[in-house]
Amino acid sequence: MISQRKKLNKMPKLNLIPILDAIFIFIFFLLMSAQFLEIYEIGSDAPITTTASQKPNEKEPLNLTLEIRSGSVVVKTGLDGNVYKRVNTRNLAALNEVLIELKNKHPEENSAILKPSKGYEYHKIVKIIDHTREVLKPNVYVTAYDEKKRKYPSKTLFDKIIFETQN
Amino acid sequence: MRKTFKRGRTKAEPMELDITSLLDILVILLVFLLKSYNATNLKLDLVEALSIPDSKARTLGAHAIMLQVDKRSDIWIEQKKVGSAKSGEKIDSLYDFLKQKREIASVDGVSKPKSINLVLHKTLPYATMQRIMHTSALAGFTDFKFIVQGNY
Repeated sequence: MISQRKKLNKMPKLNLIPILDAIFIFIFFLLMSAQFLEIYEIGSDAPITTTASQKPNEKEPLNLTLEIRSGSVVVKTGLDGNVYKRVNTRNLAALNEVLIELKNKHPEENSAILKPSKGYEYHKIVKIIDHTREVLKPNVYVTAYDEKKRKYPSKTLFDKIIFETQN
Repeated sequence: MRKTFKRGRTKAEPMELDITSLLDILVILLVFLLKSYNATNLKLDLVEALSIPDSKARTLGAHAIMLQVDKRSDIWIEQKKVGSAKSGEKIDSLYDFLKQKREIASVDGVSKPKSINLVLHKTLPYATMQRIMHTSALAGFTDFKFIVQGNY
């Protein structure tokens, strides 16, 4: 009677050996392929100049240019390079807002020309690129169009970065 | 009366190991490794005196020729010093090296590569960047990929 009750109380044992084998193999694979420095890339093309005549009734290109100086970023638009706004480099959130405004006005545009001064440091340029490529505020989106001209919310601003040199 | 003690042979039960704590560690290790797993095929072996800037970019890098410039403006390709980017508009030694690399790639029957991964020290001035980009573009590498460190 007692021995029967003992048998009933004993929990069945799980065979964990195959699971442990699988976990060990998985861990070895992950350790071998691990790279603890998270690296990403920012793409940029060398500027290519082409001559194209503007068709009548065609909208003038935005030609967004960011002139980066030691203390400020000058946002210029249009083929004549009209100054749209000046932003302090300490307040890059303001630059992001200006670019959101421009993207909403020109949703079809996706390129920005960067003109840093010769002594401007690389990591500061990267910060400006970050604020140019996407909307950094949470819950804020810009309107974008897909191939069938349908609207959709997007975080992408001007993700095609082209470098140019200041004279 | 003489007491007799019968030495009963008790069956030795197999020793049971408690592997709960081991499993806990394995699961933690697994989660940590899975979180830090990066699907890129880009392997970065940084030279000395080089630290890359932080960025919010989330595009994974791809395999291409890896050009590194350290804080002394020395240029390295495949852990080999190629020249210096301190002065001049076009860096001749870099141009020759890249041109040769591009030719080798095209001899293999593959179309000539255009992408180049630029790993630049974070405090380098734009003038140095410009020299590197200008020389690379002249050698046929017009698609620049700036390698940066993830920053959440």
